[in-house]
Amino acid sequence: MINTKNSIEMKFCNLDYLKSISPDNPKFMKEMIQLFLKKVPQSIEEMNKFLIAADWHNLGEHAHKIKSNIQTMGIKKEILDAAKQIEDNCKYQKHLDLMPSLLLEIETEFNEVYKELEKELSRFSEIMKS
Amino acid sequence: MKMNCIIVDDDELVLHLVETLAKQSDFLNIVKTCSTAVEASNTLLKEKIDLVFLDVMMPGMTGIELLNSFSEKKPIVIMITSNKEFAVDAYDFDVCDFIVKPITQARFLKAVSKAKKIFEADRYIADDDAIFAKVDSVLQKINAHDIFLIEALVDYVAVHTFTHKYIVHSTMKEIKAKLSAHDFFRIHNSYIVRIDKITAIEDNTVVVNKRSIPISRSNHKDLMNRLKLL
Repeated sequence: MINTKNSIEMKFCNLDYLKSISPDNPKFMKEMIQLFLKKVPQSIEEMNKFLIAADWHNLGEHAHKIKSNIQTMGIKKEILDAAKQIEDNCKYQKHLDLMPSLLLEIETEFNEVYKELEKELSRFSEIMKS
Repeated sequence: MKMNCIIVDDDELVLHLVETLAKQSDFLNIVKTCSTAVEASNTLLKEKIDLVFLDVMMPGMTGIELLNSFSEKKPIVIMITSNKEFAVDAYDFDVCDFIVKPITQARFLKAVSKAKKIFEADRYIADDDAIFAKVDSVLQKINAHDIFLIEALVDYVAVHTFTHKYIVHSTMKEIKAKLSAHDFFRIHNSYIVRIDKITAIEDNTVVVNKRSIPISRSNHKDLMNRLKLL
């Protein structure tokens, strides 16, 4: 079977979770990474819009959703906590002043995540060609 | 026999992940993946669905609202969510299992085998799906799978199977209550048909076993909703 273990050292993501869902399945890995790269930047953009509009309901719903994306790609726990905090703050309408910095924290980390996943994606494409 | 299932989640990543897990199982047949509760609700009306993997929080209509909308024949439900708090709501709805994200393979399999047990227990009852009807002086067993049409006669009903026609002393109302509402549909005051035996629909008639049966105007729309139309 194709060796998917020999990945480049990943600093921002950990794909062990995805591998556990469907071992030795580079096609699945590739599709999940593609979906993440397609959907998550859109979600972040939406969240920024909701933040500016002070639409806490929708911001909270997006923060809720993004939590499972964070877990899926094995992104560090601080980022999951930040998303959880946005969700809770929106729900209880508290610490609203912290929202911009929390969202920025997620966005900054995600920019590194995207780069790393792009690299991993081209590697999976190579594996699948060979 | 495989369980027909749908997966409902507004997050495409979760949808694809659950689909991948479900495909690994020998006893699941994925009929559709739905990204909204409304889409799921429509699928549930048209198809025979045994199992639903359901996300709780979705925009528009939530998973809980979808559960509320189920009528008589409820599918088995496995809820998937990131929020443990929803578990409380879920138990109000006889949900089979409740998986908190991130979903693991082991946890998924455990939930599915729970669902399978319920499904098989239900099917055992469904296999017994026959009615005993008084025909002359005999209590005749008629298998519900063989019936294609029930027709009202004055004080009797005629039960048509592909091989026999039984004249039973009963009423349409009484016999309808004994048969599964999922399989049989009263298309007219005087006619009940077995939905999977319909071979064609022409204006205001349905064709079963080469016979044209009228559909009453009031039942026409409901019947159309029950069928998969292109």
